[in-house]
Amino acid sequence: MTDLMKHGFLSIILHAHLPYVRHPEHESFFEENWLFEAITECYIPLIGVLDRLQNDKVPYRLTLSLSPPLISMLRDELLQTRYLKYLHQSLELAEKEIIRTRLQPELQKLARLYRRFYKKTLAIYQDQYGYDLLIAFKKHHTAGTLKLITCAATHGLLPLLNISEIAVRNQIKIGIETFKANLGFSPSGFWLPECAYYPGVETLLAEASINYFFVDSHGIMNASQRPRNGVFAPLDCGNGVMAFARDPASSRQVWSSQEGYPGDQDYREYYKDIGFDLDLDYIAPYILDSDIRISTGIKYYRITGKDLPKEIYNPKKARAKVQQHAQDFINKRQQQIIDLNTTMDRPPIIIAPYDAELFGHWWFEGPQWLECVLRLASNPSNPIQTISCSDYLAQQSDHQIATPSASTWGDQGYFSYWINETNNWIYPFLHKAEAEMEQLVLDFEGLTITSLQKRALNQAARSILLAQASDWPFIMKSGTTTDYANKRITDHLARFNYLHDAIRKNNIDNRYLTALETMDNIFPTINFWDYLPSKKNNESPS
Amino acid sequence: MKLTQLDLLEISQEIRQCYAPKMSASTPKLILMPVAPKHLYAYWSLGNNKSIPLQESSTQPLTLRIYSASDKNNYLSKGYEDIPMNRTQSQQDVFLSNPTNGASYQASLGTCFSDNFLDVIADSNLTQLPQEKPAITQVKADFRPLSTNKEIKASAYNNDSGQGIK
Repeated sequence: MTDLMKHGFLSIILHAHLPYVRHPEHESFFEENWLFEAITECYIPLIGVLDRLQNDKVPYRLTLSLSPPLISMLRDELLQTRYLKYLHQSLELAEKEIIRTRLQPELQKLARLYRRFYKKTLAIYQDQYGYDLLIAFKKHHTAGTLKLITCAATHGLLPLLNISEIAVRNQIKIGIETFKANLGFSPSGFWLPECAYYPGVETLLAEASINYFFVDSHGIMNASQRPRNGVFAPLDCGNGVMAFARDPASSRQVWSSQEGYPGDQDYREYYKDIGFDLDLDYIAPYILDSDIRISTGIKYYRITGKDLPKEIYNPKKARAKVQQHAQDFINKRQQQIIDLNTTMDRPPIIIAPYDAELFGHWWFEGPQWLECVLRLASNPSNPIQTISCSDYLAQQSDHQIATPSASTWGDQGYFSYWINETNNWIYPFLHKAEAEMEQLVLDFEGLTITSLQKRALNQAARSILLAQASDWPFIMKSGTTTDYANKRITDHLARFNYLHDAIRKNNIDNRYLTALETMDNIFPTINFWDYLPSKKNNESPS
Repeated sequence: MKLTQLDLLEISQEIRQCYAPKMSASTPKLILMPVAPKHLYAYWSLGNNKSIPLQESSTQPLTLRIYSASDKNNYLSKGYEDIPMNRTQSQQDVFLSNPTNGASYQASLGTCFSDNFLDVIADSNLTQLPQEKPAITQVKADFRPLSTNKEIKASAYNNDSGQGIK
């Protein structure tokens, strides 16, 4: 193998995000399961992968974007307590399944596998990391193998909030502050929610000391100057902030419903869950309100094939397929690098970003695949080297200068998934609330502010940020939990309206304010002065 | 101050009932937002003085006059597109017939007369159209987000379409 062939990089980026779902006003709340499922199936398995790679001294590099709502939820005591209860229930169900399947050895073997899986999850969550998974991620960041970055405060779709520059600036600033408060350092990279870029956002990223971000392929291919190296080298946006582009081939192999690995017939079938299959009397304690069937996480079948009767899942066969798919992924990246080295003026970097929740939740074997890929890529005889974007930028200089074009990684590549007939009604309200907040803060400039007013102004800012989450219009379009998404947008806007009205009338009710602070307790150190129109930095006006 | 779950729930419900968002604007306003390369979304308010009379008595349609930012100074002569807008609505999708790829656009909303004079009610912000993308297959969004609505879950389960694919 020549030196030229050896020269190329692979940067895998996982973006971990869930909307802020926390309902202390209810004894339990179904949508909180989104977090609990993701902890069990995605985040703890990922930590398991990172721990094993560290124990085996594998010199891998991986980037993980942790969204501020996820960071806040992982640190929240109420959700930690509720997750522990959820996990114990899963373990209890697995125990019951071992008994129920005693005459079906193939199923019982799987039930035992689930019991081991939940026991291990509990050991990692409770004993190893003391209910705080951020400790685990930070440990690997400190070791230099995992690069942690973050994204906008509530995952707001920045191009659609850009009617107000302050709205975008605060999504970025408060996102970074939340990351820093919880992880103890500033991120160098930034995940634009849904890779949604508009020309100009790089100015605000530079203000926040961000060095790089990610866009979809066409964001770079349609840049103001033709990119000399296609999507395989970053562009300097003109202010030193770098834009890296997603590689379509690496994405397709994992994401695509037609060609993607997760659809392989030997992998576990996501949709066939005992929550839907078993007698209601038996499964009642583990489903919603004892009578609405939901996913329990225990699934015994493999994908098998379209229109075929589902066959029992065979973990051994699935593991073999994982190896095969990981090798295939690496082979294809090697070939790309060999081809690119003949045309590029620098070592190519292949950017492979994925939603972290794909790995383990939708694609049960995803964490194993990732581990395999990182192990294979670390083989010294391999021409690929995994790298973080920061390290790539430290090695390479003199980047082409051009402005990427407006784009997202969503359906159709632009903004239509987040603004269409199902959800466009929200934008006039979001923009109006933002404008009212800015005016309110402006009107307070120079006045003496009581501690109650300060709390109310900060809470109003939290309400706006929570309403701006891109998750709500996404859900409205996807048609999944639309009632919940509508309720959340309405609640946050109503809470803002209440606070705005109370502040304007100087009629703030401490009891009501305390209730809102208890329910929406995200961003504890938020500073409402960030909404002052003339303000770019974080000093309070004297 | 210690509040019970019931206190929180009652306060939450009361605020939702009494302060649910309502659109009102005392001054005319027009906002343009980017959607896709030839596609913008506009929403507007005609303000307190004009909204009711216009809806009830005027027969003149509303017109959105849209022009690229570079044509702003001579848009009265040419370089604009007039799009009829529904008077009974306060928002509408706007599809441009021949936009300049990636250009910035601005618009004015008003009543158009036979000599093409536009009696402007509101001017918009400036917004940039995304550029048409090259032929790269879109590969994201095959997998649904982590969401477990009970009805959807059930229908997805019944839909034997394969792993994680909706």
